[in-house]
Amino acid sequence: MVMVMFPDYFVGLTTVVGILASFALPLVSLGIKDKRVWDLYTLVVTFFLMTLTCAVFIDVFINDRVIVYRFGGFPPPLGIVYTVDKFNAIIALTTTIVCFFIALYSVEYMEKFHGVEWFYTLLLGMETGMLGVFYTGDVFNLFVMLEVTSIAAYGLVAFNRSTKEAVEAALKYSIIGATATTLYFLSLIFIYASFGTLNMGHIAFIARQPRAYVLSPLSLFATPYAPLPQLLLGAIIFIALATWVFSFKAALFPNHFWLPDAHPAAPTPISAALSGLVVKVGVYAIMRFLTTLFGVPADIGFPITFNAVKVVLAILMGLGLASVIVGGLLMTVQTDIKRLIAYSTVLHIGIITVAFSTFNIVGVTASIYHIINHSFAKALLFMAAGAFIHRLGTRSIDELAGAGRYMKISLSAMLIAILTLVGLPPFATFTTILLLYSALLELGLAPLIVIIIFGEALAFIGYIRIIYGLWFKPPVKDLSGLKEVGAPMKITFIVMSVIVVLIGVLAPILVSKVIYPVANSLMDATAYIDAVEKAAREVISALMGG
Amino acid sequence: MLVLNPLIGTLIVVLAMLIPALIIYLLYVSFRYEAFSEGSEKRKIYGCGEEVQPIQASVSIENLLWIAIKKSMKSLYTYIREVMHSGVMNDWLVYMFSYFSLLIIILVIMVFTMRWWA
Repeated sequence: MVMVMFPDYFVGLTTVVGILASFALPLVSLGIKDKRVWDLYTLVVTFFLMTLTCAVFIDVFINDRVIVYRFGGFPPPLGIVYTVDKFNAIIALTTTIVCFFIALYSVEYMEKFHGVEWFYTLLLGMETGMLGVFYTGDVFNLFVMLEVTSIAAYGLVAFNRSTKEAVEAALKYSIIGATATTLYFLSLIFIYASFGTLNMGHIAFIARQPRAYVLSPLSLFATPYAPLPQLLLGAIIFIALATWVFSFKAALFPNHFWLPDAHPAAPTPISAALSGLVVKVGVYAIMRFLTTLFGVPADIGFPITFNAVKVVLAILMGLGLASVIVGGLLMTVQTDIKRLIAYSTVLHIGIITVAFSTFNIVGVTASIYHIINHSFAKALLFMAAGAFIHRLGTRSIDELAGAGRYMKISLSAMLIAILTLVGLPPFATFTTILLLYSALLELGLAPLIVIIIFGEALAFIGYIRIIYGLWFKPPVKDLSGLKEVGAPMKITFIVMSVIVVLIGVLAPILVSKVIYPVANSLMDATAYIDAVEKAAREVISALMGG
Repeated sequence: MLVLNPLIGTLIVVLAMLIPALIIYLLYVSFRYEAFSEGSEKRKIYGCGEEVQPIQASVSIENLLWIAIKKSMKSLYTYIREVMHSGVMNDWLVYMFSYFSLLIIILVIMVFTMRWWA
């Protein structure tokens, strides 16, 4: 096999380049007041980030290793580290690819807007924040990067600040979002007070020590940690608070209320990023905490912690099913195309959560596969809907009637995204649902399948309303002058459609060769913990002259 | 010298914040002006939230579908659209904090019945 190994600092470079590029753009815009330059700048930065994450992904997969990048050379758990295994490598790659196409799409879509330089600044900030959340191996740094993502997202939702809808949506989103992140900060106090560390690998290590007193993995810092009851209390309160906070970020029922207001209010490229990517931040954190950190089998860790994880998983399964039903029901009665698609996100987050809550390898594989599939398909669907909104200046399905006949490429992209999301074979959601059914049947939870089918059937009605409106309904106004979108949007649609179709058609290969190993790396944290410990030992050994 | 355990210290600080907050809230509820009391939120105009569209008096396929869906689960839709997804943040918080309380209560019970769970 060909050995391809890239420098570890590629991992650290992603957020450093992203945040510097984001802050530099307003300065650039002071000197160069040309939108084409800002477009090119953003495209170059997003492409560069995509290349870096692609290199990291290839390295992690081909060499079957966990990369630990130490910021400033400080050993974990003292300094901030980025720890990249297969799970966060693939999610970060998905994020940067989608962000690149969102930037390309924005070149044309943002032509009519003012303040485009600020739009790009916030877009780059949001992408950087997401990469930081995915790559970090430190629960406090995750909080910091979560704030970077959230603040950029609040700003982007309020971008159309002359409309009262955008201002109200951004206010609601930011008030509840700030409450959520504050609660996460509170949970960090508990974890630090009880575990004495914020490093994910170190927390995972301690959670796997079935002793009353736990020693540091490093003899240099061999101080006894908290007694067992205190560790458990800290762990359990952390699990409860973090689950609530990240189910808000993921827009899981009943923490989803902000989403149908916030996503439509933002400019369409941002709706695509919020629905396709930002909600995955919450899903990622829940999955990481409940597996790598505390998903310790009862026979090797503290049984009480594992039982707490099982209780939380049971609650998440119930909420996931509720999300599927509520999302499906509300999709059927929407008249605003973006609001309809936003409710579809609530439904799909429900599917991902139910799949993960099964906590078996098939279910976790299904959830990871659906995270990737949904990121591409939902971004494509939003962007295709945005093409019609861009041309006709309305989000009402009734007023968009007949427009699909004049914009066939946009309609085709939308159709591909819809066919993917409804779960028609050979598109990817079909494989997800199939895997999910297998996982539920394995647990003897066959009746739950009926609920998911019911939700999907309701969603189908919602999607049909879009296609029916765009193609079959007679136009309500003169559309004779309506033209297809320009080259940047067309290229985005064609390439994204090809990616979406390939993810579905290549499902047998993708699931067995890529997604299954990712799920395995998530469920078994041994390599993750070993890599963090090794990184710490290397530094200490170098400091001691060894 | 008394050295507080960090975890207990955190709990005390959090509770210390909650108690004044509760007192301030009770004072507010007792002395607030009548005009702002019951249901004033509902009268405000919101740009977001669930929009209730009148059904047009035509018999297009789409409207038939709409009517069929709306009528078949009328009470469910009424609850989900007009009570739950009202667009009013105060209404949402009831559901959001019910879930939060559920999580906390179940997991705290687990801590206090640790031996049984283990």
